[in-house]
Amino acid sequence: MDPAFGEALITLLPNLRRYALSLARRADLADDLVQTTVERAIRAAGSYDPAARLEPWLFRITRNAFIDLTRRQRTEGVQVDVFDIPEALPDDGDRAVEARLMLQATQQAMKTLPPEQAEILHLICIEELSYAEAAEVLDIPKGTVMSRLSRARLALAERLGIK
Amino acid sequence: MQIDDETLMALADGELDQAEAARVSAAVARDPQAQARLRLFTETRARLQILSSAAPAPSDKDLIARIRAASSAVQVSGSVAPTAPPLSATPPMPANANRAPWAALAAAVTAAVVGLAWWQMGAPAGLPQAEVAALDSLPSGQVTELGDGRDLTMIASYRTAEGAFCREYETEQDAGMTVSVACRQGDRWQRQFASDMTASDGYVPASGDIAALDDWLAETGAGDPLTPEDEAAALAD
Repeated sequence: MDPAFGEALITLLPNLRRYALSLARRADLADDLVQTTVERAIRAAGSYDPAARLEPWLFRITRNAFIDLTRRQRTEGVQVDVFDIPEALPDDGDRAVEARLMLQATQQAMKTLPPEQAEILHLICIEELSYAEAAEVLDIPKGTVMSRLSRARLALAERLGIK
Repeated sequence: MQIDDETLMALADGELDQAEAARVSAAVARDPQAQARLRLFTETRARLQILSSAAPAPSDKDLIARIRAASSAVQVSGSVAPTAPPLSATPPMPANANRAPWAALAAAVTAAVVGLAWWQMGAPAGLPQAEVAALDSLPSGQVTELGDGRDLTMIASYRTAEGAFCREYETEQDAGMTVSVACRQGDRWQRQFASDMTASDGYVPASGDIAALDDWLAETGAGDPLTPEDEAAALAD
């Protein structure tokens, strides 16, 4: 494996964990997803096209791992409570109270959105993927990305009271 | 000019090319309503962007070490796989949801999966008695000993598009693992599909890497796994 690939992968670990958390909504499952992603990424490093950005390639692996995880879990009868999400924020106290409240309100609003809306918001507005890259990760046409994203943005704006 | 939401959003997200962006910006400048809509899109993005700095920071030390090890291992040797550190002799925990990705990590770099073999259809009909017994009664997610040194883990049950009741299971022995699907035909079980996964140094692929199994499930029109209730009902038939 190319060491540059490894270093790029290390740099993206926080992004992977964030995305995994947005999918699994549970810290322990998110950790499993990140580990599985890393494992598969190392094994598939040869099939990565260095001309393309690494994020969409990795996110796709994470997403497939998540789909696989949920498929397996259903057979166990384990239900993931989507609202049982450990607080992801460190309680550092440094942040201005107002900013914290706004941030928490945004997080809370994301939790109340349908998962497919929250996911596309995450990929594009938090991870800053392009529409084309998100289409690749989600395996849907770019037009669908745009319509879903615009609905999700309006739904989020409404929940946050942005007019 | 009426500017639609998706165009405004694309402008806010920097997805329009320069000429298009200039044209839409000019139109927005003349349209207070469009300005308000545009703000919905820029503001939602700005709010979400703050979340990207609020990532939890658990220790990635182990992961980082693994990745670096993977980088250097192959660099030294070129094409020939270097000797990987011996893995623990204990097989990965047959947990249903998470098949110990750690065990796979270290070996993943070097272990070519050898002996990936397929039989599809026409497999010998006679399954060992212990496997048949497990197929007849073991709920998904549970493990049983087959009595010949192998463990059997029941993974899931499915209904194919044609209504056949099929079950996916794994048998493990030492470093080897076989993933099988058997379908009930009358009062017999017929193995439809099997894949041996054996590695040079104890590396067993994590579940879900078995693309061909997913293909098989798709081909036969098997949908989602049956719920525990549906599975129990099918077993009672």
